[in-house]
Amino acid sequence: MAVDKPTNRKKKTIDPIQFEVVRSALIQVTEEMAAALRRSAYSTNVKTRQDFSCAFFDRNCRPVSQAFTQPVHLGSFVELIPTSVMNYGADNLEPGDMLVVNNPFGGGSHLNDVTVFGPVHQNGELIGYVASLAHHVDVGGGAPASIGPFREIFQEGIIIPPVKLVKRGEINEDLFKLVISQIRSKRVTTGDFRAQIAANTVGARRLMELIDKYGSKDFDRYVEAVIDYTDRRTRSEIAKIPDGTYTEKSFLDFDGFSDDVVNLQVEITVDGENVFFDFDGSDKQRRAPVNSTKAMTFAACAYALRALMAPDMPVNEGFYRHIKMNAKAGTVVHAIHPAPVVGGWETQVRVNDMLFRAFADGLPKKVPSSTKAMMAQAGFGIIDRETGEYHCNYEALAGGYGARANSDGPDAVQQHGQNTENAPVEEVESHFPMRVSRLSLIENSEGPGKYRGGLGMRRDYQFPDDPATFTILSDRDIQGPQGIFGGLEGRKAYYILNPDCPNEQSIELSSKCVIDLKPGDTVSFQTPGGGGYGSPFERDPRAVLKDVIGGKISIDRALDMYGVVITKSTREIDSDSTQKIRQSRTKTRRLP
Amino acid sequence: MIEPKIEPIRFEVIRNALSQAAEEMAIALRRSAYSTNVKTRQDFSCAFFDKELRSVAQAFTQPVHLGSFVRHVPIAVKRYGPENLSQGDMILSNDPYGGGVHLNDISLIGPVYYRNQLVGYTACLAHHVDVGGGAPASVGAFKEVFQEGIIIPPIKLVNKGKVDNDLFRLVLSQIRSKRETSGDFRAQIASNITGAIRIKEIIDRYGLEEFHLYVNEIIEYTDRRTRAEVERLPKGVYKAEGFVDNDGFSDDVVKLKIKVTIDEEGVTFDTSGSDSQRRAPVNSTFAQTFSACAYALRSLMDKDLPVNDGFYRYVKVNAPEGTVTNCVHPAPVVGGWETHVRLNDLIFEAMATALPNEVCAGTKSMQCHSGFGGENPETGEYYCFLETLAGGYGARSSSDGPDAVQSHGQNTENAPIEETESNYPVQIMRYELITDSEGPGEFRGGLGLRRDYAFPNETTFTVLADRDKAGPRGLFEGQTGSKSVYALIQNGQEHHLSSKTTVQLQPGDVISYRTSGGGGYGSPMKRDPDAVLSDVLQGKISIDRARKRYGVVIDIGRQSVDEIQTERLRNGG
Repeated sequence: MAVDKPTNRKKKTIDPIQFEVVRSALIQVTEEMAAALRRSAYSTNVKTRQDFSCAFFDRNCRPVSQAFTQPVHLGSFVELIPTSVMNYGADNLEPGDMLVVNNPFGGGSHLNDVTVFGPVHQNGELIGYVASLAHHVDVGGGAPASIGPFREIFQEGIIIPPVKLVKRGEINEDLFKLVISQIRSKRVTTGDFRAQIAANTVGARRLMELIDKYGSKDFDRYVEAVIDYTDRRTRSEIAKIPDGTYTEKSFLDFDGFSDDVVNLQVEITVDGENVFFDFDGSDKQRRAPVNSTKAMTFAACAYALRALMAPDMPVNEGFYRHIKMNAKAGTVVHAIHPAPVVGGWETQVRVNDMLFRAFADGLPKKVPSSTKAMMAQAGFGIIDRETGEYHCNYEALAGGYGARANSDGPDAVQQHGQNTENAPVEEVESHFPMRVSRLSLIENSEGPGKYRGGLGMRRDYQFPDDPATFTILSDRDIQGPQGIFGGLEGRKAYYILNPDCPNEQSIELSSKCVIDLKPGDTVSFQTPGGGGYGSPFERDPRAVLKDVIGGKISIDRALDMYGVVITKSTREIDSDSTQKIRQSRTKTRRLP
Repeated sequence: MIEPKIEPIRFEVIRNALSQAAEEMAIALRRSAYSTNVKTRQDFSCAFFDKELRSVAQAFTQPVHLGSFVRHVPIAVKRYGPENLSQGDMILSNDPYGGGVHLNDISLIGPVYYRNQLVGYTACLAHHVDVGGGAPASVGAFKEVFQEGIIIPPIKLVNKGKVDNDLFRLVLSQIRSKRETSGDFRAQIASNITGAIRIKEIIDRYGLEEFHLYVNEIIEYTDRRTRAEVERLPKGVYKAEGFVDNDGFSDDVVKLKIKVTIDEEGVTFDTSGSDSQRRAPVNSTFAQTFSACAYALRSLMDKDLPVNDGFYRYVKVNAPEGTVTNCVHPAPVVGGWETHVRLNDLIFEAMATALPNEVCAGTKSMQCHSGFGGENPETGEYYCFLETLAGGYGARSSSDGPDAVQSHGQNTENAPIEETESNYPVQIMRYELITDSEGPGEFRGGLGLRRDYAFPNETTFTVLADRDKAGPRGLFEGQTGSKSVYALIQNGQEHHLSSKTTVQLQPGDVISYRTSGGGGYGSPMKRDPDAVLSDVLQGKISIDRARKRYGVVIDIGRQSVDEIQTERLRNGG
């Protein structure tokens, strides 16, 4: 994609090579912040799962560059930073200050996502703001890891309006002490906060070096150019999407309390260079863990749109400004105080799935079938018998991705704006007095299709010696991810207490619960398989065979769902029988 | 060297001036507070500590607070470091595991300086109607302290006379009733300022050296008098066992054991053998247990004995860590006051044989909280309400237990219906004594009370109380008072609730509290029949009960006792 020359003759010329160098340098600032955060964090969730994000904002609080980490965070930053600066008062911020904030109703998401950000000055001038957001493994509240079927925000953990954590380079001890007092995992969380402060410090340093190198006037010009460039490219990318209205309905299976599913609805209008997401018709917010904040919904729209565009496009104000949204206050896509927000990410990512499905008919080659479309969060807390330390662990489990027009959905991955990594069994077992007794792909969990959905994943947590509290905040209790264009549904999720025990002791849990475990208990978390794409009878039998040999699909399922006959003894395809079966089944079977 | 002379009149004047300074702190707090719980129910306490953090004078408010204050304030100041404090500073603290009690009770402590010299500390504690956490009013069946509300280690809320806005804002962010609570915090600040002004005026008048001299003498005087009172007490070892009925989760009662040893060393309270702490709202912190023992000891002493460090040092408590009488992190502490006051009943029961004329029979011995909250449809504000309901007091050796009062260290006032209804979206449908709820005795226990709340809007309601299983015990053949009942009345149907539960109410729902009557003292068959008659005529006891439990036959037509029938009944005619 060629770089356009600027058309405004009054501006100094933007040198295209310098442009690229500065643009990349700005991204690199945030990448170094990410490296610093990651390397100095304590919790598995931050240092290994990378559940954090870093970004740079100009002095007008416009997002300029971001590290490649968690798109869900980055989208919420767009509202959080300007709102917080306005709320605190830009004049009340001095060089070396850093604010800490997580307020869900002021641009934040759920309480665990705590942002530390600060102004950067050079030569007495404000350059902009560096921000790091980390998902803290516990922020207090009703259950360890601060996730659970909560009914109002007050039950969920510490709520932090923008307050000064660092004053002129020194940590405000009383404030820090007060924050940590609410938190179970004090040692680990203190370390993670200091890592965020370090990340911001590194970011500030690199920015000041850039100013030294280019001078503030040129720096400003190039920042403006980066945003302009991104704006132009975004427009042209949007123009490629056929004009029109794209609608879709969806729902979240379980709100944690009632039998009423949570209805979601969207009407996307593409008109020339603008995209408008209208969520009217989505359910009202509830006293239940299913409410997204406005910022979270915005992040879903941003992610969906970005995913439809060229991979090399930058993401900053020039892109974000094109996302127009109508999400009525007081609904599950724009919850207001005092709604609980801990379940907001589950809803948000279901919204993402819905947005892609809305585009499916118009852009069938560009969107995947349905994914696990939920965060699939698991947390636990154990008190160390010897030290008295309250250990908390948090992770979000991978599941099957939706199949695509030309390829299967990957097995056991995160989806959409969620980009966290796996928590290695070795690491988790060495930090906590527990065992991961199983970690495996789930055979036969895929949504069959010409291209199949990815397999779901099973992770069993065993607590042999100590009582623990386990929390599940997830979904897909009722049905699995839907297929598309003739593809079939993936296996739904299962949450089972003591799965391999005789029936009376084995209990199916809901997707939103907190349970007190006895020593010896095991919780099995089984995520869904992705939806299929296209009719399974059109799947290349060799691909089916490969899945069978790989242990992903059973021979019986190959026959039942794909009409592929594989001889059990030789593991070879019986092509004739396959053809016959597929022909006859295509005639009689009603395809979705 | 000649010892400075203590002039007795000056001593009394200064001693009372210091008490009055504490009383004025209480008045300032009360008059500037916003919530009904503080301004009307007086759920707060104020005190003055000397520069060594020994308590010197306290206002007459909540003994439960005062007994725990004396542990919390020195711990909080030492944790913060007195060297980190200066003129105009105030520290805020509620940490249960730093000498505190339950999270609602938040202390604000300010050092007082006279001409740049530290002369002591003023401190006030207020029960804030909500501190965040799992339910409105921050009461509920919680399993760990993290669920209960904001935990405040000692932090400097006021810095050289100015409120730290960031800290204040962060604290308030956790709280539902922001408007009321921020007003109550400011009232605490005002209270400390008032106290400091009065202390300085006292010093202005008498001089710094005299001030220190007399402060020390107040403590020494109290020490001498307390020692004399202790020596008066019958030496021996006194034991009692009892329980808290309901832990909110299981059917297992919470066993409590108390052993009071009075010997040459003094008085020692030992709670060994009490149950281990639980993930349930039944755990007391050490400060709460200490407070129960302090209250009990003080009750057995001379009425005009001052209360300060000179007294408290005689309260020796041995409460093993990890039990419900001295819980450790991260046990929930919201139910601690229920356990604490049950312990008080037990102490008196233990002492009954030795001091039959000085103790009362079983009381409601629970705080009996009702907490509720929700969005006020008129203002859009999230409101919270808390009160504790009165019950029957235990009978004494020569008098009945009063009807419908608070018990022991709990000294909060009634929340008037008019005030409650005009400030909160609730209607009080019934408020009355409960006939036949008393524990019969020669002297009867006090009656319990009934209060019914009707809610026009969706509301979250929490019961945090007790007495589900058994009523307060009598003494010396006195009988047990009634159990308590907590009912949800929905569409005309009554469902009994646990004493430790949170429920979601729909418009039109009613919650009914029926608290216990106190235990009786002495055999009911010995009760003066005229007293029984009076009770019957006032509607406190039914005619049927008068006959069955007291053996007194009432001729209602004549409004008199049928003496012949009574004699027959009582003496097995």
